[in-house]
Amino acid sequence: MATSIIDIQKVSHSYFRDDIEIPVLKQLTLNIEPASFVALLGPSGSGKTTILNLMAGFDRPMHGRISINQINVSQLSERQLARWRAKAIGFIFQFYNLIPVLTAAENVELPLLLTSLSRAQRAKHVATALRLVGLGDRMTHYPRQLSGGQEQRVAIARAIVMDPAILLADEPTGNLDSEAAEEIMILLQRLNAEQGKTIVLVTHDLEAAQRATTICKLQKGRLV
Amino acid sequence: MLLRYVIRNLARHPLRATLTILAMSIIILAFGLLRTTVASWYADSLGTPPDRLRTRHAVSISFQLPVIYQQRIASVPGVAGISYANWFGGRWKDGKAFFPRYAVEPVSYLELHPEIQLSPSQREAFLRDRRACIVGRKLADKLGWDVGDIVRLQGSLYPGDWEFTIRGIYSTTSPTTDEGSLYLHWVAIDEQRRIEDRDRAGTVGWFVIRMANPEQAAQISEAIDRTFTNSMAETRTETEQAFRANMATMSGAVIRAIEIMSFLILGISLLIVANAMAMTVRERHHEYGILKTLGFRASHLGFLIFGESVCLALFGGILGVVLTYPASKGFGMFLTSNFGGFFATFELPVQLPVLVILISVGIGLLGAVIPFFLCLRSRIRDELRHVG
Amino acid sequence: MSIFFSYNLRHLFARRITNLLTITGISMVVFIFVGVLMLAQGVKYTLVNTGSMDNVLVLRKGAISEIGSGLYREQAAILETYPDIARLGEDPLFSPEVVVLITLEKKGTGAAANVTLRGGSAESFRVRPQVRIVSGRMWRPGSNEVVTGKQVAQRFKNGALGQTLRFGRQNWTVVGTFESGGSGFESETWGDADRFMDAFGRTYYSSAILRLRDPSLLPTLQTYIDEDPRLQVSVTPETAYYESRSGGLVNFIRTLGLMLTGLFSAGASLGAMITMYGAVANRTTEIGTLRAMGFTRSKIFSLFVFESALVGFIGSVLGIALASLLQFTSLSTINFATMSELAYGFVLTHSIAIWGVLFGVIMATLGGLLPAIRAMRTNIPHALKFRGA
Repeated sequence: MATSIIDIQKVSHSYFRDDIEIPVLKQLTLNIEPASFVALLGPSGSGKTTILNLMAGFDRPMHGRISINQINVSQLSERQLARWRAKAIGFIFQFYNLIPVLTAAENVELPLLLTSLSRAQRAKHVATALRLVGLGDRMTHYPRQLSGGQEQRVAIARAIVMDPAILLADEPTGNLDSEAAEEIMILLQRLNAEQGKTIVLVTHDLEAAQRATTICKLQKGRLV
Repeated sequence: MLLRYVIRNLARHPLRATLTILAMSIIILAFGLLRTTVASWYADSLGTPPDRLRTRHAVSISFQLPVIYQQRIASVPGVAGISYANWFGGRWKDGKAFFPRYAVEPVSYLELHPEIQLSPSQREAFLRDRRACIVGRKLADKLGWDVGDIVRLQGSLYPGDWEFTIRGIYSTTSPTTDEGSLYLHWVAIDEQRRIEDRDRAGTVGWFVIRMANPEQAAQISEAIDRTFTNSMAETRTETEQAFRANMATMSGAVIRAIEIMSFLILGISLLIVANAMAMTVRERHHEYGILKTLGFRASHLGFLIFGESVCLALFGGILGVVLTYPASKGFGMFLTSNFGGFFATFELPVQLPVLVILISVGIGLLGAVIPFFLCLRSRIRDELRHVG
Repeated sequence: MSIFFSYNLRHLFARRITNLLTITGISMVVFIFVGVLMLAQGVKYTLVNTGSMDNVLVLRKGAISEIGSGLYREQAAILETYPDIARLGEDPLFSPEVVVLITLEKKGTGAAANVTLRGGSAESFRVRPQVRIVSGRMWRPGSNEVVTGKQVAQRFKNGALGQTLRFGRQNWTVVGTFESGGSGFESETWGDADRFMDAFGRTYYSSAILRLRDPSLLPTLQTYIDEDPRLQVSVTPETAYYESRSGGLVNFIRTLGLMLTGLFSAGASLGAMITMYGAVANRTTEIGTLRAMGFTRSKIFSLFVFESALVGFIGSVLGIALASLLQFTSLSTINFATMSELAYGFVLTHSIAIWGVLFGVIMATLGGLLPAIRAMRTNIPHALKFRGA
C-alpha cells in the first residue's frame, strides 16, 4: 500500500444540476502502483471521467482523500495545484485539444513555457518528445494538416514533454478509427514499458482497455 | 412566427445583446450631443425677429460709425425705429469668465428688442441711472449677482476702471436669445471718451433698425447704404439673421469638424453592430444549416439576420435618445457656462428622435450585410459538419 | 513569452472578421481622439509661433487686442528713442503699426470673412525675421501696394500676386506674398502704415513691436513707462500676447472634443468587450486544456488581457497613421480673440501619438478585462466537456 503512487481513499462525489444532487462516485477506494497501466472501464455516466478530474485536481472530492505521490491533492491551493499539475501530470484528451493556431512543435512547447528553460533547451525537449511519438518530421505542421491519429500523438508528446510520472488519458481513442486507435494504444504501452510512466486510461472500449496491465470496471460510481 | 423567432434569438445571448445595445446607445448619445452642439451654434441666427436690420461699417465690424448717422438713417423711408449699440469689451476679474457686454442707447434699444423682458420698476431704475446696467438671468445666476450689486470692469475699448450698478435682471421670451449678456448706457462711457479720446468719441458699433415692413428689407438696406456711399464711413446693412449667420459661418471649420465627427462615430456603431451580428451568425452556422435543409431560402434567413440586427440597433438607438435628454441638460450647462461666448443656449433639435430612429434602422440593416453574406457563403455540408 | 505573442496574433487572425471590425472601430476612435489633439495643437502652434520670444508688444493701457488698441504718433516717437531698444546698424528695431480688420470674400464660397490688415514699414519685417517674402517684392513706401500672407493669397479672391484687392474705398495691388513658417501672420495682409491710416481715416497707430537689447530688460522698460504720464501703454512679450489669443479656441476644441471622445470611446470599449467575450467562449476547451497543462489562472487572465491590448495597439497605430494624413490638410476658422480668420493645420507631435496609443490600448484593455476574468474563472471539467470549435 505504501508503494502506491495514486491513493484514492473512500471518495464520494456528486454533481448538482438544477439543485438536484446526482451522485457520481460512492465510497470509491483505488490504489495504483508506480509504473502500472490501469484502464478504468465503464459505460458513460459510470463516473470514470470524474475520477480522472479528481486525480488531476480539477475538482475537489466531497468526501474522502486523494493522495498522489504522498501529496494530498485536495489540500493544495489553486496556485500550488497548477504548478504541481504542470510537473506531475500529463493529460491526454479524447478530442486531442490541440491549439489550432499553433504548430505541432509549438503545441508541444506550451507546457515548457511554464519553466525557466531557455529557448534552445525547449526546442531540444520538443524535438525529443515529438520523435518519441514518431512525428519528428511533422514539427511545423498545423493541427488541421494532420490526421486524427497524428493529432493525438502530438497531444501525447505535449503530455510527456515535461516528463511527468503520471499520464491521465480520457478516451484517447474515442475519436479515432481502429487502426489509428491501435497505434495510439501501442504508443501508450511503450511509454509505460520503456519510460516507466504510470498511465490511467479511461475508456468504454474493451479492446483498448485490454492493452492495460490492470483493468478496473466501474459501474454507477463503484468498482465492480 | 419568424418574427417571434427573431425576438427569441435576441434573448439567446443576453450578455452580447445587452452589450451591443449599450454600446449603440452610448454612441447615439454622443451623436445626439454633437448634433445639438451644431444646432445650437446656428440657433442664434434663427431666433431673431425678422423685422430688424443692422447697419455697420462697410469695412468690418471692428470699425465704428459716427453716432450722428442716426438722424440720416431714421429719415430713410421704411425705417420705423432706430437704436444703436457698441461693444464695451473690457475684462471682468481675471478675464476667465467671459460674457458679452454691450453699451446701448437704452430707451430705444429696449423698445426695439421686446424679447429682452424687464419688470417696469427695474426698467425705470435702469433708465434713470446712467451708471446702471442690466444683466441676463442666466448670467446673474452663474456669477451670483443680484439687483443692487456692483459690477467692476476693467475697460479696454473704453480704458479705465468702471463700476456699474445692476438695476435689473432680464429674461427672454425666445429660447434662442441669450440671457447671458450685460447692457449698459452708451452715453455714460462716451462721456469719458469725449474728455480723454476725442478722436474716437461719438462713435457706435452698429445701428439697429426696425422696418415698418419686413418684406422691404432689401430695398431699405440698399437705401441706407446708398445714403453713405463715398462718405468717410461707408455702411453695410443686413438683416440681423444674416449678420449672425455670417458670424456663425466664419467659424465654419470647427463646426464642420464636429459634423464630420458626428458621422464618423456612427461608423463606429455600425462596426459594433456588424461585429456582434457576425459572431452571432457564426455561432448559429449549424442552425442555419438545419433551416436550409428544411427548405428555408436566403430571403428567410435574411429576414432572421436583418431583423435581429435592426432590433439591436433600434433598441440601442432608442435608449441613446432617451439618455440624450438628461445628458444634454448637464452638457448644455457645462457648455454655456464655460463657453458662453460660443453658445447662448443648448436645446435639443426637435427632429433628433426621428433622425436617430432612421439612422438606427440604417445601421441595423448595413450591419447585417457582412454577416448575411457569411451565412449565404457557407454550404449546408460545412454547416452540419461544424458540430463534429 | 514570444510564443504567446504569435499565439495571440494568430488567434486574432483566425477570427479575422470579428477582430478586423473591432480594430477598425478602435482605430476610428483613436483617429478622432488624435485628430482633436492635433487640431488644438495646430491652432496653438500657429498662434504661439506668431510671436517671437525677444519682441515686446506695446498696446494702449487696458487694451486686450491690437484691434482695440491705439497708439498716438507722439507716444511712438517717445518709445522709439528708448535707449535699450536693440539696433540693427543705426536703426532701432521698433515698428509702429496700424492694425485693422477688413472683410474679404473667400474663394469658392464667396462668403465674407474678416482679415487682419497690418500697416507698417520695412521695420515690420526686420522685427520679425521669420516673415519672408516668397514671391514678388516688398511694397514701395507710400504706395497702394500690399503683400499678402500665404493663406490670404490661397483662400481669398484677388489675394494672389498681381491681383487687386479693394478695401477702404481704394484699390490695392498685391505685389508680393509672404510666409512665416505656418504662423498666424500668414493669414494677414500687410502694407504701408501711412497709406492705411489715410484710407481708414485714422491718425494714430494701433500698436508697436520693439525688440530690447536683452529680453530681461522688460521690467526696466515697464518702470520707464510707468514714470512717463504721456505713455498710457502696456507692454507684453509678443509670445505671451499670442498665446493668450489661442487660449479660448484651443480650450474649446480640446474640452469639447475630448469630452465627446471619452464618451463614445466607452462604446468602442464595449465593442471590444463583445469580441473578447466571444473569443473566450470560443476557446473554452482551449482554456481548459491550458489549465490542465498547469497554466495558472493569472496566466490565463494575462493571456486574454494581452490579446485585447494587442487589438487596441493595432487599432491605435492604424488610427494614428490615418490621422497623420490630416497633416496634409488645413482648416480656417474665425479666431474669437481677434475676430479674424485664421488658417491652421493639424500638427502631430510625439506626445500626441503616444497619448493616442495609450488611449487605444487602455480602451481595448478595459473592454477585455471582464472577459479575461471570465476566462480565468473557467471551470476545468466543464471546459473539457465543452465541444467548441
